Amino acid sequence: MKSEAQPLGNSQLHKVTAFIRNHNLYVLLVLSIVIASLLSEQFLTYQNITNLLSQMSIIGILAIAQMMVMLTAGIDLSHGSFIALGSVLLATTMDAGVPVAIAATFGCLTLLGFVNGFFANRGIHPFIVTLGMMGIARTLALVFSDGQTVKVPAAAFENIAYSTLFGIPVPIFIWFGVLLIFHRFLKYHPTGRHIYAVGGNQEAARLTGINVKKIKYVVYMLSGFLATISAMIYTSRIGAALPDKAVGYEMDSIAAAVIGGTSLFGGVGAVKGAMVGVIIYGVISNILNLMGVSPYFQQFLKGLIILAAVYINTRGQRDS
Amino acid sequence: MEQLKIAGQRPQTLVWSKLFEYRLIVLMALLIVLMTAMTDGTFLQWGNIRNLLSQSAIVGILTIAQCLVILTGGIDLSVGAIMAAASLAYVIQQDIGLMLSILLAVAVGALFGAFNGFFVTRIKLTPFIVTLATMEIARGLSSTAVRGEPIFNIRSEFLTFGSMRPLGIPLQVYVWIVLVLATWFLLHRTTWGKAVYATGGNERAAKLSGIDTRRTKMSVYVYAGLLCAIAGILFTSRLAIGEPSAGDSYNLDSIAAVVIGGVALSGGEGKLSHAMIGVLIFAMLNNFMNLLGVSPFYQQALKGIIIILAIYVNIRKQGSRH
Repeated sequence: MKSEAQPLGNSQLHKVTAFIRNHNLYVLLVLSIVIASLLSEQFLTYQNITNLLSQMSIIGILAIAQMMVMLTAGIDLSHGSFIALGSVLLATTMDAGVPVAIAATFGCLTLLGFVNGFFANRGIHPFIVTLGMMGIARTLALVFSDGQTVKVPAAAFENIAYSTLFGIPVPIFIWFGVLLIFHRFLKYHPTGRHIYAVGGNQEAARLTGINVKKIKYVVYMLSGFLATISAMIYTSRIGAALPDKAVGYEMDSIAAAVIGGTSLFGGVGAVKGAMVGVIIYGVISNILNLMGVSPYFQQFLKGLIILAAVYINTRGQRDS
Repeated sequence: MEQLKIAGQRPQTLVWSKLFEYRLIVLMALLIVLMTAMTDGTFLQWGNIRNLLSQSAIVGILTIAQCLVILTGGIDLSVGAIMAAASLAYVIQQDIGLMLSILLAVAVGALFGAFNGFFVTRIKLTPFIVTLATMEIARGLSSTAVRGEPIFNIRSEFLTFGSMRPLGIPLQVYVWIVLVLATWFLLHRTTWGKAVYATGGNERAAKLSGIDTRRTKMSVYVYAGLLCAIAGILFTSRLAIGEPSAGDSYNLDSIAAVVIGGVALSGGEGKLSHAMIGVLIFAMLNNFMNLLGVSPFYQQALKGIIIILAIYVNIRKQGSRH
């Protein structure tokens, strides 16, 4: 009743709620940062923020890959195994020189991405294809390393994760570089535009002359390629290759992509969203760590956050 | 038309198409012959078969749950986690007595099932994401409840289910068989079963023809939760441990078994009996690899390859039919 008497205030209120609805992701980001800095003094320190971003770069790069696969209505469950295999390959081929090791790892994981694309293009649901690849890549990691931890022979390799440029850790530069490249790629490159078209309506995309199969090969190969970059940062951080670790990274990349507004049904998503999704995810787990919440309870909260984020996103998409 | 086509085919192709139709049985028979030959008959000994059955019983029960959810067009990534939560609930408060503990475990299973069902049917989120979140929630809650430590102190009466062996066969095998028969009856002899298939086949059409698809899906998720709880009780009473991380690989094992059994991931198509054959084929392969001393490293890769090939064959078949 009261609002009827004040039409001006009402329309302003409406504008505000509309703004929040349209930018719910950013509102969520600001909200989580504000709450985090209120809860802990340590949160908004330079040290903590750079450390947090540097940690999130691994998932951040995977989330870009996951987002692109999800744009084509696919999903990539092989990320965790790719990281393990990538780090094993890096460590075991490092004796032949760092460039050789990096090239071999890029080649191998991109090839496995190609295999994912091959079967996804044969009409098998990507969920199943990449589920199979998850087992295959994990096995390869275990076989190449004999199931043992492999130390990285080149000490210089640790520079990737631990050296800084202008006081900012290098992984952050790598992450933001990849973000920038793929932001432009998806926005302006024909292939990038075609990825959206394929996810939006595959049949329509095919009829307009887009090579749907090629696009699917591209996204799965890029997924393997980007996983290699993540594997490099991961290996460099740890200083060794652990063939049985990095389990469940695919769930993190899916969660981050989904929090960032990527639709599981394809065609909806953006690099910006994948970035914000990862940061929200990181801020929340960081603040829980700073508050000393047990990792077990964090897992429980993570589940709730995923549900809440998907709920908010689907609401937003339905409204618009 | 199809009849005519088959009649017009050469007898040779007819044999092939029949063989293809029964490929699961053929595959299983081939595996049995091969394994028996390669292990000098050890494979077909009663002791080994008994082992095989008792090893597959728990995954088998979870596969029933997975099969039902997939029939409605969903997927359940939380079966392993719900099983672990229920198995912990079974032994976390042993002072309340055996019957109440069983009830508690069953309630936990049903509750998580209802949670899945609520988010899928009411909030209308994708089953993949809902059950992924439920997996995290169930694991997080179970680990928090016991601070990550497994429960070892279990009174003997809580382990009776695990030690009962009527006719020399562990009780869990009987439970598995009874649950398969009960679910088969529900699926193929009741209207509920018809509703499940219809909902998975074409939800809109099912709704328009008067089926309450929401209720059907809800009941499937709750039933799946109950099955997970039963599996959890059997798990703990057999292994004498309550572990929050139990059943980590069971999600994928159950999905793999269902998929090998030719149940379509798009829903509405497939048979429970075939999914159960899928469970047995997987168990046989594991058993075979153990007998041959194949490194466990390779087993994961083999599973992956088998899943992809199985789906590929199924899709080829569907393609040739249309």
